[in-house]
Amino acid sequence: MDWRRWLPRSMIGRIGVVLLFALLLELAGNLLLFERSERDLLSADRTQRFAEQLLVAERVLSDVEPASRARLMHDMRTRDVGLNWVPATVITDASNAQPALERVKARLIAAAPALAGRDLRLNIVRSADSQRRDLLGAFGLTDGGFITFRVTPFLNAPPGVLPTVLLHLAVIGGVVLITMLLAYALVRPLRALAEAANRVGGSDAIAMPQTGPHEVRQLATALGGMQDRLLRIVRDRTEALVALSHDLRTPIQRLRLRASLLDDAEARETMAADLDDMEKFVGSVLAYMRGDEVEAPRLIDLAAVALTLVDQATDAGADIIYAGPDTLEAAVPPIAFKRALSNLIENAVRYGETVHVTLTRVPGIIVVTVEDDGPGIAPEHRADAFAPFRRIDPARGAGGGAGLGLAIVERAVTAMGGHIDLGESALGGLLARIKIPADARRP
Amino acid sequence: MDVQAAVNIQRLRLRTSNTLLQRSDADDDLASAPDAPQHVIVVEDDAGIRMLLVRILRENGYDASGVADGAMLRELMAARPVDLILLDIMLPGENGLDLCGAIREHSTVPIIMVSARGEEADRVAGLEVGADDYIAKPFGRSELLARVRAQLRRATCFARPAGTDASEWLIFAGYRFNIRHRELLAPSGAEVELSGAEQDLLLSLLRHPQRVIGRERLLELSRTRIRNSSDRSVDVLVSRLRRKLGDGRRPRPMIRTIRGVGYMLAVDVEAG
Repeated sequence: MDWRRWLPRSMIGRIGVVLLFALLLELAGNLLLFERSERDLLSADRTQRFAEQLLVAERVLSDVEPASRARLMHDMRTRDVGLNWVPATVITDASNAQPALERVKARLIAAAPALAGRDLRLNIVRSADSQRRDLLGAFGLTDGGFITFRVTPFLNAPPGVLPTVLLHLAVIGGVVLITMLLAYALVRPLRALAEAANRVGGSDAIAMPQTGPHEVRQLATALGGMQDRLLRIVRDRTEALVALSHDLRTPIQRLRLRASLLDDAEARETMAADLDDMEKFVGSVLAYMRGDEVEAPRLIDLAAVALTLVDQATDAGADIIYAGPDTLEAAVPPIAFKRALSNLIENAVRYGETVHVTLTRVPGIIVVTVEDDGPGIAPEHRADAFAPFRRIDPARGAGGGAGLGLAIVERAVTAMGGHIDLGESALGGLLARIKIPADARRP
Repeated sequence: MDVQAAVNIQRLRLRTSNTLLQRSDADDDLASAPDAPQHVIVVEDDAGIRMLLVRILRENGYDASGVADGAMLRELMAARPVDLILLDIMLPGENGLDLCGAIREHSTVPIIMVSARGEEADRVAGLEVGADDYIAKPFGRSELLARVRAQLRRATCFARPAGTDASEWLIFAGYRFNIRHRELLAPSGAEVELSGAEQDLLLSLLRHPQRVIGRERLLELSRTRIRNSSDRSVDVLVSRLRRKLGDGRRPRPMIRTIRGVGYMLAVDVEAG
């Protein structure tokens, strides 16, 4: 990771690096294309053979009559090299004007050093039967004549317009692709930051990743600071509410004891009922505030928990039926489970006359339903039903309570990794169904 | 069944008969000295609550005194014998849990912990340091009196020979019941939640295994948490307990109904 030290630290600097890289890549691509179209077809092997062919031809011609020289040369031609003998030639040398020819000449001399300093004339002409090009030349003999030759093919056909355009487009495409990858790497820290920011919302601070260019780091620091300040405000408010609720318990306790000393039975009972309401309010505020503290899952008998709560409601005078197994063992966070179920039952008993509770297990999931024959919640209000301190229908507020029941349930269920949905019960009222994962691992 | 278990059961039976014997002794003692009020100390830092608790206890025939902290409690305990302590957890200075542990080092006096937090952790912590019961604020007069009465009765009725309280668990048919934490574990190790009344009922049955217990006697033994005490409520309570113990699925139920008399726990109980 040492190379990173050489990267510019700012976003602008890094964008500049990417841009520069892209332009250099495009330039390199163009050069490569040009080079490729002008590359000759003479392999080292062919060059060597051709050079030797020339020298052999010269040696053969040295003791032959000029009259039969042309025929002899004609007999010596090979598949790709045509040879002829002429006493004089109009062929001139173009190799000092064309770098490709100059390179060929150098290679021929390197292959056969005897050619050095000799009269070797090279030219390029169009092939007779194709778009390719041949090497046409003359080799001056010491006795004044020339061996002329034609090497075919020497160069590929010059590229057409369409292939040229397509090749350049391919180069551009490649450069764009590589540049995009670089740009992706450049903005990846921003994405990571956005993902971290999206996770903000629980009670725990989310660490903002401090990576990438200077500007992104600044943003991460700013977001982290903002999160800390918001969390501190929320925490302060929560603590205030929790402290208030705790502190209310002492005066409620005093009032409850004092009320029990009253001689007037009616006053005593109504005060006790009012104090019950206050206590429930305080209790539900505390339960809501503690909702996201979830203990480790323990193997418990969920049916026994449900039975205890249902029996409790029965003893308090409710018409409530439990349908489910007598024993259902699963590893769940016990307090959260009990909190969720007891609030659902309390809610149902408050709004309905008859309440049904069911408990079932499908593989890996515990399903609990609580339904009542009360007024229910209209479908358009169901999403709002989980908001704390909110009563959907003024009529539903009549039963008292802090309006926290479903909010507490939702918090507890979410903390257990499950979820809750609301529907319409066959009894006519609300149907609340919670599903929580049953940990397969048994302690 | 191995020898050790058999010995344990034998011991348990001996102890149970001792208990029953002692109960009648205690009843005689109470009868012979009816006007010796029991001394209850209320440890509570809130002056208003302390005054009210003392007043309610006095009106119900107890000799109650209130103190605000641990130091005053020690002073009072040194000066006078005490039958029951009502101990608040949140106290200035030494907290209720530490105080409870300190008292337990030299005394078996019944202690009821009082907490305003009402959290499961407080209940467990209280029982852990040796408290006998736990009550959450805010509680009412009747709940207070029921708990106080129960603890005082337990202290006299269930006073057991020294040294036998060492066993914390009662084991029956694979189930384990923790006496101190009042916790029931199924054979699989799963916690089975019981209501307070069901805990008392189960404990009464476990302490008299293989013996028929009359409805009235069972009610008396378990009265602490049963509000509208009647024969019927015992039947309801027993049927609830049976359901949680899975008795409905057994060919031979653990808790057997003896028609016209009462109930019997038809399994052996081991102390562990």
